Amino acid sequence: MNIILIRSLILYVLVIFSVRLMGKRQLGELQPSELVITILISNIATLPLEDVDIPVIIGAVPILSLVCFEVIMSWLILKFPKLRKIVSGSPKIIIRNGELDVHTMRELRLSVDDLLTAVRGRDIFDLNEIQYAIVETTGSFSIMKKQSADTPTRNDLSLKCECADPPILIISDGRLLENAVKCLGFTEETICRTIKNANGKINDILLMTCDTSGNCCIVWKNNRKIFKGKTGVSN
Amino acid sequence: MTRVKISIAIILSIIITGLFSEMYIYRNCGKIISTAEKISHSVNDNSAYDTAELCTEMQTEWRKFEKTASMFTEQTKLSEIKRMIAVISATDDNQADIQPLISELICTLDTLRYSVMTCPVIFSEFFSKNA
Repeated sequence: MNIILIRSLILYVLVIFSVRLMGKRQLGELQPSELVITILISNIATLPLEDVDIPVIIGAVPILSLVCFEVIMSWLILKFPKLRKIVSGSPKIIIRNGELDVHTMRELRLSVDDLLTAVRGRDIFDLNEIQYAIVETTGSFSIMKKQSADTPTRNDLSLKCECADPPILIISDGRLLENAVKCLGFTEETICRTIKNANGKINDILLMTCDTSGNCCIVWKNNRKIFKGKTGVSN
Repeated sequence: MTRVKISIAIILSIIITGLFSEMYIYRNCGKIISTAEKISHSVNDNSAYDTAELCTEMQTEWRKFEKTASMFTEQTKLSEIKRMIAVISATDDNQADIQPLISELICTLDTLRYSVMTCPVIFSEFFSKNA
């Protein structure tokens, strides 16, 4: 029993290490080769777990090898773009200038139902609204709407826009996150002063967020009203 | 780039470990096979004393080999060989009966040593020259 436990632990650590080695790129949408690797790893990892007669190394070697090949292959693809076409294929345009490319759809074995489902997933219910639709190598759809059907932007409406970074968490459950404070360009003193202005202490705060402009928001541990104000404003 | 370097290092270490394990299994299986052949000859010569000594030698060789080999090969293959060695070593009286078992042991060990080889033809030539 303990042997199985130890084997499970070893393979658990190994699979986590392998997934970490593959990197973040592989954790999102999978390319064909990455999908193959993921399926293979999950299958191989179970073999030494199920059968105690099989040495762990026999399970570990193919897992590590496959992941390493994948990492090296993605590096080679980066170096030699032509290799990308061979391994991952290329994106296919299925709607060009608002016209459906039936030939490409047949080539991709994509039915009209599949297309409509994907399009509806993007909140488009009329194919006439689409200027371009591309099937990516991952199988996902990239859709560009016709200008007449697209949502106007702030620029289109000539509205004033500010480039502001998102607020960052600087106090979490009564604990000041020094790196976050430094990242915003404030000092601990400034933050303490703001908290004092809000009539509280760090320990009373559940969470405090702040952006680069100094706009802060404090949520208290007790049922006090949420404080919204400016950081760095003195009494 | 760090990931690529780690990957290359892992693959190289797998290749090196693989080659050493192949070499280890090939050589040790070879040793046990030669001892088994000696036992076969001594059985033919009706030399009970030599047979007993060679059986002890084979068991010692096997015990040394088994520990490391269990890391690289399936337990079922090893337990089969272990059983045959135990039977051969225990048979003292009717020595003629062990000849088929010795042949089977040699055959199984031969299969084992070639089953771990990356390229049996080239490697067996190389190892036999360097043995």
